[in-house]
Amino acid sequence: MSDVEMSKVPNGIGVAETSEQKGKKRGSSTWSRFVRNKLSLIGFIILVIMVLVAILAPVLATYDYQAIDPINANQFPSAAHWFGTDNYGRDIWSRMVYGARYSLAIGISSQALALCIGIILGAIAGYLGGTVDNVILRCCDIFQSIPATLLAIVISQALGSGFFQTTLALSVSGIAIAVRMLRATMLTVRNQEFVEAARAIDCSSARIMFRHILPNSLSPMIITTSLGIGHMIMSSAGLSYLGLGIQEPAAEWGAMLALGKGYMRYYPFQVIIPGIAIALIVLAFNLIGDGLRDALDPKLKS
Amino acid sequence: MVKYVIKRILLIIPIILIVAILIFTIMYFTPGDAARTILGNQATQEQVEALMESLGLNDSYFKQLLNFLDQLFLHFDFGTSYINGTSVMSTIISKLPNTLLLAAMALAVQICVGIPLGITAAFHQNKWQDILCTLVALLGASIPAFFVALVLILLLSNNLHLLPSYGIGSWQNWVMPFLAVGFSGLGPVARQTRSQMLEVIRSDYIVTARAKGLSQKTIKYKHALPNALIPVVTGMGNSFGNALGGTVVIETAFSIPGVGLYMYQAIGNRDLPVIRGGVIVISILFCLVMLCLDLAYAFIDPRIKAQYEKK
Repeated sequence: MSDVEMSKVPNGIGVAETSEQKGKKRGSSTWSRFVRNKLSLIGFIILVIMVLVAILAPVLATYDYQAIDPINANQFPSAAHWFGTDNYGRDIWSRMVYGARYSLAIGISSQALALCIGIILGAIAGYLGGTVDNVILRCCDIFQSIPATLLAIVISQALGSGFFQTTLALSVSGIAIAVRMLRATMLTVRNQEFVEAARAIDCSSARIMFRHILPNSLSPMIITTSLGIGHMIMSSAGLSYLGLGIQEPAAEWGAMLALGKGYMRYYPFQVIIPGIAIALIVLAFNLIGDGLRDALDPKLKS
Repeated sequence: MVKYVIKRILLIIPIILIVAILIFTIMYFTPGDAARTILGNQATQEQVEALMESLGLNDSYFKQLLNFLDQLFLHFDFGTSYINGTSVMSTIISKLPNTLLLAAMALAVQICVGIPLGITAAFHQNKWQDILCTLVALLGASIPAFFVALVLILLLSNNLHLLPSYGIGSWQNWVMPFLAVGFSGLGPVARQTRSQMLEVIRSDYIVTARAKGLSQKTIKYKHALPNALIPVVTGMGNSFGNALGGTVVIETAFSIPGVGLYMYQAIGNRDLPVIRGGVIVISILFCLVMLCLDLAYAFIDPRIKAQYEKK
């Protein structure tokens, strides 16, 4: 498979989705089912707010989020400092606002990376079968026999802290799941008539795989992605909490929580505010993932 | 059947071997100077170099790897901690019961609360029981375990003074860890039970059972439940692995002297043999749990049995 064909992946998905005759109709009914589900709508609204906060961070922040101000350290929430200040006197509201960027960016990028590798390997395994399939599956076995949290800990220990290192560590721990999910759907789609038809008109393997099979395995992929992003955000916060991953002075929610933990007894808000924010954003992705599952999964349609 | 069991048991050996190689390799690239960590900042350059030589840190990657595997699989030895020179293996073994207890608690909550919750939700789809199940599952899956732990400490220990916030002296010490691991592990099991149950209820053999005029109770518990639970049990093996991995966070939050806390302290000190040992021990445990599950599965699921009995 050449690089050119690989690069068609995102394109192929888009084209197949719009060119499919029933695509539009199916899409709109999925959307209406998704919106009718109140929980998923709540999740969607939380996510939109979080994205807006992340984009508008410079406007929403009332102070410089990095400015250290020892005189005003450990202030309780007040009119001047809406969420109080941390141990270095930094304004927590401003840091929270910027932290939304970190959480969204790290969740989306690490899940995207895991998914890309998962799509390629899973598609190859599911389509080719045989020895290749076996080798890829055994590799997944090995990665999955290390609990994901520990794998992420080991890798981020080796790579050091920072945004890209953490993204890499988290995505490696998510690859095996993506590969398995894609392979499983690929196996069910592979034997359907339209694939046989494509084979009959002499389409190349790569074309069948990326133009015909992949777009039809979209639903499980979308669901896994949504749930995966939430999981990645939570794991990233967990790594920061353990002293790996993204660290102080970065305004990352997990790192802020880890800092606040030391003064929790006297200033509980320093722990509770970032904790609630993490829970909210993960909740949003979980709600959306669940809503999509119900909206896309034909089995659960009554 | 015997053939399957033997095959499955033999398969675990290469997996554990490769897991050990993988973890060694990742840790090999960890930046930092082991000899400097051991000796501290006052040591001279010559002392550092001499120690590196004696630890074999100047050897090639393959020589170090072979040495490590030889120590691990032939002598069951992970080397000694960089920080206090104690044997990593014996320390881990002494701390393992606490970690296992935590993971077992998580599993117990999943079985005793998660599964019944999922079943109730499936039988009352879109009623309040279902909403309750969804809420518990969602919150459990969305609130990080360390945050649950910290909130519990704040509420029950710092504010209400009901429970001690750290240590393992008495049963009171275990209440909050139990709540924290239980709450975080509940979600996936309840959710999976619910969706499996819903799927099974709609299958043809349930319709047949209804058509035969069987009572609701018989249909629910004799026909639907066993079939729905098979995938849930497999999923629980995974949750046990996650619980083992998650104990790092819980043990840290409650200062429970288990493998997780040991590893957490090692992360701060860059004490590589300890991290390596902890991860490998937990991975081996995880593999063994999955093995037991697979074997149990083979006995429950007639399809696997049939596959091997024909041959």
